Amino acid sequence: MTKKLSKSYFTEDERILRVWDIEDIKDLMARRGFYIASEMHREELNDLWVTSPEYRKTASLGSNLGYYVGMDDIANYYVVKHTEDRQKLLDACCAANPAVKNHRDNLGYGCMTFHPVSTALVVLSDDGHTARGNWYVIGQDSTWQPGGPASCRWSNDKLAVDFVKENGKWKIWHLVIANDIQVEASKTLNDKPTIAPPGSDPAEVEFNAGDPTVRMLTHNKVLNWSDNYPTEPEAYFHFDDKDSYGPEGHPKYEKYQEK
Amino acid sequence: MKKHLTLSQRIHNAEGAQAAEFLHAKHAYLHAKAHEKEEYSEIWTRSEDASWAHSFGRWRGWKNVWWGHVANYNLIYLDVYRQMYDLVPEVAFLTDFRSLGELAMHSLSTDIIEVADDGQSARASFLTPGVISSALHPEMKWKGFVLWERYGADFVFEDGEWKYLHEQVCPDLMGPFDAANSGMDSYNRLVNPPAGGPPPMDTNAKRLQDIGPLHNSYTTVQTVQNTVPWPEPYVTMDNNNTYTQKL
Repeated sequence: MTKKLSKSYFTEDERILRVWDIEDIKDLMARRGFYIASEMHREELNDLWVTSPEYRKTASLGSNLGYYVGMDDIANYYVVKHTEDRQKLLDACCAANPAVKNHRDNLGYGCMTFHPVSTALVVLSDDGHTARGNWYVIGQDSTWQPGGPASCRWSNDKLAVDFVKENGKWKIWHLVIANDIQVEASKTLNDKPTIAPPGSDPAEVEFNAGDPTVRMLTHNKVLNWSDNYPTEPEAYFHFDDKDSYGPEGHPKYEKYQEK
Repeated sequence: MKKHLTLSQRIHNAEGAQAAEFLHAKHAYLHAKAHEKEEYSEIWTRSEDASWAHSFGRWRGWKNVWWGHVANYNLIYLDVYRQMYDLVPEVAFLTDFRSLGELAMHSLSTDIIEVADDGQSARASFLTPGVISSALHPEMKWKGFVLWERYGADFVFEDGEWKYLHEQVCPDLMGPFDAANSGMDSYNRLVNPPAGGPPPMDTNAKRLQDIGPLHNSYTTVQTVQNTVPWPEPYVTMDNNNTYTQKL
């Protein structure tokens, strides 16, 4: 909207389909929130993310500390590692409470992850094949802790997503979760030191433990949004990697490659 | 369903409804990083009818809104930059100092949007459970607040594009992030007011056209203020269907 879209090029049929496309994309991101809240990571990748080989290869999941690139690397982190972590928790839970069965149906026992999305800002490419969007998440992660009370954290993110239409359906192609706040519930944020000791940010520890494909500082939350990443999508005609939310779209990616 | 409109009009108005949502979100993200110059240059009408209001009052006319937002905010954030320059070396290498001031995450929800039958304006109201935070302060600790507000916004279709026309911000509740009991805090302020009370606001310095208060934050001794009622279906923007009545 900040640049003039070539609306006059579109027929009325195309215009209403474009309106509907944006609603479909918002629906897709809302569904992702429910998948996460239901511990359905595997299903999320299967149902909501790209499936064709061309896009699977370049799909990415990013955070403040880098990117997992390709659906295999994404799945190894987002599904396999997550499942392993949940299994470890379940093992500890069963050891502490024999009434809990150590069965796959109990993965996620004592855990809850709510990442509701809001503040949708969606831009559809003029060619209609791709779209880009931002959302806010004011979320919480609650996890049963072995031998102690639950850990409940507030987790505020900005999501930045590239979408591509595959066989008439919108799919997630690149997704960046830029975290701005991680703080334990009931502990005031105002006591937290500006420069956190290394390894003390649970979101960063968790992301790094999976060995991201591209390890680089993408967003430094200490500096608020001075790094301006991920930035809001602008009107565009055709998708370009250099403007994407994949690693190639990060302003420091060339420097990373040189290293 | 507005069946009295033609299909073309309904398509135009569907785009208008999405534009209202888009523009308010764009405002939210630009404001979060204090890119006020970009916001008021790119997504606002430059008309004399533009307005921006808060509890303290309202600026009318795009030039006054610009003065209130761009000029004032930049000075505040430049001051933060100066304070932090020596404490956090990375700050020196930033290309844009403005975002250092704070991260104002005014998350938008509960949208109610109406587009005029004449297709020339749109109106929207939102509730926002927001968070304002920043890691950068001279004491080297985070600061974080929750801020619950309601918004009323009008938009205008101008030269083939949707633009922001009016914004009214109504803060209802603010307190320290996750450690607040805002109702109790409000009660305590009533029964045990701070010595001297809050400093009076210098409305002259703000160069407001409408001097507030236009909205009072929540207290335990007032009824709910429906300052920006949600928009109802309407035909054209007039003084009955706007968040800024013409004088």
